[in-house]
Amino acid sequence: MTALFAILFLIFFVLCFGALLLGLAYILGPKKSPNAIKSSSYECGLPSSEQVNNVPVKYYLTAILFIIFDIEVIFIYPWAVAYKDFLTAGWGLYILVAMLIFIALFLYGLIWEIRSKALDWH
Amino acid sequence: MFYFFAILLLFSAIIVVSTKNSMTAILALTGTMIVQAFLFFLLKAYFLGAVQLIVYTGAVMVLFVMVIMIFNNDKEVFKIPEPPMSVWLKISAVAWFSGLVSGIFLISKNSLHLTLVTDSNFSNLLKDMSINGLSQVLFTKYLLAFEVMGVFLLAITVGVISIAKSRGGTHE
Amino acid sequence: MDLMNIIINGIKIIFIFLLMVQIVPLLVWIERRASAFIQNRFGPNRVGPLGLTQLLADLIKFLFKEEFIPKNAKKSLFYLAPILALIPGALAFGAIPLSVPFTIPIFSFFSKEFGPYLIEFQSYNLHFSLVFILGVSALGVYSILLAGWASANKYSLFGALRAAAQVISYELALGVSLVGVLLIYSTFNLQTIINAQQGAFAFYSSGLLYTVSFLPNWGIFFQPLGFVLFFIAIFAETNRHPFDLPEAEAELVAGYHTEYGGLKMNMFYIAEYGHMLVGSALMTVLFFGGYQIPFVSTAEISQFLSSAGVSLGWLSFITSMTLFSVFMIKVFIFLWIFIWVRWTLPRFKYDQLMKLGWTKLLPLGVLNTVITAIILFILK
Repeated sequence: MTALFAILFLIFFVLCFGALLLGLAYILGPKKSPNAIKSSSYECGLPSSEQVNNVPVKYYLTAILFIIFDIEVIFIYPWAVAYKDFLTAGWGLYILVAMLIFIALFLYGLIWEIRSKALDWH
Repeated sequence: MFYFFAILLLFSAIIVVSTKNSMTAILALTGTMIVQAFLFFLLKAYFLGAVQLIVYTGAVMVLFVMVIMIFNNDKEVFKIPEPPMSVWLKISAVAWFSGLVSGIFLISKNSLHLTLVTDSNFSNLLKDMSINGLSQVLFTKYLLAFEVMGVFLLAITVGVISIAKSRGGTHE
Repeated sequence: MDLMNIIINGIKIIFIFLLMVQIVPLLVWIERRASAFIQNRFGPNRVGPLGLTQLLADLIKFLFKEEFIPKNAKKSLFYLAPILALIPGALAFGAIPLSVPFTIPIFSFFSKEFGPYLIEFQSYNLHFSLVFILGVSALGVYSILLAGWASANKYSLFGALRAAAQVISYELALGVSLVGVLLIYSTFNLQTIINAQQGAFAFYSSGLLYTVSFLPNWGIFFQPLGFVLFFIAIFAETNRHPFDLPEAEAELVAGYHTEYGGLKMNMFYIAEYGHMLVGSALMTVLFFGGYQIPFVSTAEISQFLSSAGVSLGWLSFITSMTLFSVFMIKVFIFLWIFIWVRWTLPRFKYDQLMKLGWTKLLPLGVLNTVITAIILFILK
């Protein structure tokens, strides 16, 4: 509970700190009227262009695969923390095999993903 | 403390559905997720809160933001048209909402639900909510469901890759 | 918990955050001097002794820079992104125990007595601090994505996308490499993990205790593979060389902060060095005994200090500070390695980067988990 207050206080303080820095820079910095070339998007040599829309689907694929594997890793965590408890309770083999099955599924998915060249960037 | 987070949650959730800019909506949804994680912390479900942060805000919402980022620039903001709403639709929506709210109050007054979480067994509840209690339940009672979930995740992996790699449509 | 205690704790939280912010200019100075040293140049050496006040001069310069926003940029998000960039690092650093708790003895303030307070040398001691740090640092992607999107520039956008894909890929490797540590210490609490690393290297095998007297009881000797994986993944997580593809200047100008200038760009730097600091501190805590001096217990240090004539009221504070400086020395060794690597190794290509993360680090991390679990099972 106190820790929660501390976290909230820290978030609040960091936000204020950042806003203060930006505000200071805003007040102290010189104001010059912008012109069309200066305020256009950065480009080197060419006339500056608009945003592009064709982005490789790989980025989305990476993000989706990340969600799946992240969930699997999250499920390994409680097992890892409670592993020694199970060992001392004499359930060692049971819990080891239970997780090995899960990890085998995890690895199978991973190998499938690597073999199908889903994340081959070129 | 609870009311602070609850109001924050409601506020950001209302922004999600009321804004017309999809980026604002997504960011407000992310905020909703984060506040939800804090609500879990408040209930002492620490692991669940951290998982909420890692999986929902760290993975799922990142995907959403990436998608919106590409499809939404100044030229083609998705303007959601004002939905045609008849008077009856509006009235029934209000009735629905008030019914829900009154239902919540009725349930919370119901003594049956209150006896579930009394002070005496609240500490027992907390003990079970600790991470070791979680894994003891997860890996004994719900082991089968856990392994089946592993198979499901595998199936999702295969499905995602084959859909993304299929030719035709808008890419390749 | 009276008001004074709350005030002292608040000051402590602010102090720890400012500590993180203050390390950044020092690191920038070290980085510039070190790069000059490695490339046989001088580096900044004019302003102040050894050029140390160069960064102060730089800060003043940044403050007086013109405020500039590109025409197409989304204004509110453009300003929001650098502020949000500070939060993950600050929250994660607050959860790391920097030293042993110390007591503030009874003191009087405006002729009022205030009782002895036990102050923990960390912003908040959560008993799930490890997952909390993972969860909070997962939020770091947002400021990068927002900065890239709000700038309305194709270089920024691609830099941001690359950075996001890279960070989330290596977060997996990072998460898996930590499972071995969790298996050995059975806890998410960093303080408990540090306490478990006291004394000489020791392990149980079928009920008997074996001790190797010349090695400290550090996590790296239990988890060598886990440490290597964690070390590599941290480099990618912080977007540092040799994995700084988001800022590959040959292709992407400066990545997601191409359009940023002045103090706003500086805040991204603070965030980046903050992440480096958190990463180094995590490596120290998980694998190198945290703030502990090997083979010397905390009780021995306070004994030595009291025999050296430190008064009883200050004893716990001085002990805490000693251990804090030990922690900082360890952290700075890692920060130095970060800088050293940057100026020594060439940059990866993007496909190599993703391949390394998904096909090498992740399976190796799973392998590490399985090996650790089986060894623990055999040793019981």
